[in-house]
Amino acid sequence: MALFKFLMYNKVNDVMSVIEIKNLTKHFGSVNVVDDVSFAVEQGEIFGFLGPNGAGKTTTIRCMMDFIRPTAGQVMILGKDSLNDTEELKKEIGYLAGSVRAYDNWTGQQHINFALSLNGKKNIASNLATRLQFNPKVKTKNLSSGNRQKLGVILAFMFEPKVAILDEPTNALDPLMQNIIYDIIREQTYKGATVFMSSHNLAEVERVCSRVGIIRQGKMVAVESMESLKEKQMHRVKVVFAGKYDKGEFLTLGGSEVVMASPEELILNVRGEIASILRVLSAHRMKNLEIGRASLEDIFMEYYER
Amino acid sequence: MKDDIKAIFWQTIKNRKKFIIVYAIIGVTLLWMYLAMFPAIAEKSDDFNKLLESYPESFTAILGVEEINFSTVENFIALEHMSIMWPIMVVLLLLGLAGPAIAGEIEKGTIELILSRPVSRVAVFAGRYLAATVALVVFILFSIFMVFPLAALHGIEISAMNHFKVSFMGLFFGLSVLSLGMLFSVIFSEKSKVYFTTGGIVGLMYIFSVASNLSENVAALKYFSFFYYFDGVQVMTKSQLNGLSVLVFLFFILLSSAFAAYHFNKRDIAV
Repeated sequence: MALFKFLMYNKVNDVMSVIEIKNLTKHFGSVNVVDDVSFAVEQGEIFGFLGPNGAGKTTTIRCMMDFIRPTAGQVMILGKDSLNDTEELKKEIGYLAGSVRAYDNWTGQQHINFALSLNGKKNIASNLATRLQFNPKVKTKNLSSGNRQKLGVILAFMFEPKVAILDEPTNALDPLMQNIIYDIIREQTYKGATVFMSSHNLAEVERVCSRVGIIRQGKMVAVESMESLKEKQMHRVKVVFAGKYDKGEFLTLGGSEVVMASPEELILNVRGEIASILRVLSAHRMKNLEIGRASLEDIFMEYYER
Repeated sequence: MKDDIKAIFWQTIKNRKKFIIVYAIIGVTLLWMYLAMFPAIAEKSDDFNKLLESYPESFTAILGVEEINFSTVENFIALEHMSIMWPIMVVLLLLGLAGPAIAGEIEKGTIELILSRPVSRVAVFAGRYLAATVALVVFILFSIFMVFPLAALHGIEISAMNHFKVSFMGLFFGLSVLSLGMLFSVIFSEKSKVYFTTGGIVGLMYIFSVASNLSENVAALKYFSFFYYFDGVQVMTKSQLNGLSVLVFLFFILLSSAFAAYHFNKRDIAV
């Protein structure tokens, strides 16, 4: 029956969505934490799940992991229902919590052994420990937060899962270690894994992810590829005028927003084409003109200001 | 046993082994102390019996005994050990295991380590329950069954059946306390709430048991007390085993455990 469901799933969906979230809603009492969230993640993707604290990222992840049960909606992973097939699914999922919790009196190796006793498969834990420079003989109560995070990464990837669900994977890690984690994530996707990672580190998402979903106050406000997100064509224009200018000229231009205006200097954010703003500027004498691409953070903030 | 239950069971035993060993040592030490004292008490039993007979009736009622005498080791152990000390130790042992079993894991966040693996919540519950049951059996073996070698060591004659029967009732009493503790462990997300609630209810049950012995007006309260159904003193001294008590315990254990497993399977685990 499971095989039939799997085959039918692949037949209906030409490109298999490894993770498919449909109208996911979660209320805690009267508080609506996740509200009608839908998106899909394709095989081999590294999908970034962006949003500030309290946006609903961790609640969504906990629903995916069947730690909490949705008020409405459905989470399908590898064609299986995360609620009804949770035990079966977790053989294929590697999970990293936002804040790695461990048994204080156990060593890292004891955590690894415990995972082995439940998964019972060949694993790459020792290889990961070497790469992450993690000593598995130390009791976790004596580990720094960074080393706890390394243990969490080892536990998430030790069975080379088909799906990795990572909540803030580089928490508490230095830039060198972050690079190693990015390499591990990429390597796993080359081997066919699909990675879903939450983050509020935009540089990290820009660097690692192929697509992002942006969540705001429990609602999914956008799902975009990294390219299209960057192609939002937002520019920052900084002008130093040689004489007086009228700020009102620039306010009437569609898609532009004044960030700072002084008697001689003007800074604008320009959405879309910048040809019209250049036409207006060409009528003025300028001491200096700088045009730069807006950062991903600026683009991200656009979604939050909507 | 399913592999996942076995893994959870051994994880719990490894985590709690020091706690279980300490309890077993305390249990056997107390028993040894009573047995070592008994020959001297037995020599003076007539004097003690006269002294005890002069105690007010309410005193014997509080202890749940109809008559007090130290003529046999069973009477002595029943009065000194089974009337209150042993049940309290069982309650503390099982509270110490039920509190951290689920609520403690949620409080610390380590439940995510377990539930992110291919293991069902029912298996987690069953593994934890089974480990606590084994701890209870170990405690019973050390605190009651060790009477056989220790009595032989001190040359004391014992009535084996009384000890078997009190162990049997002790197991049901303990499993009832454990089931109550596990029920609150799956309801709450902090182990202190489990200790407070379960301990409070068991304490209230003890008050019900004593009050029902003291006054006919509140005699019906005894039916709400595990201590009434356990009745370790009567079982130890008279070898009387009440079938209805076993049924009541069994009913409570099955009902509360089934509800606890069901609730744990349904609830949100937000650490």
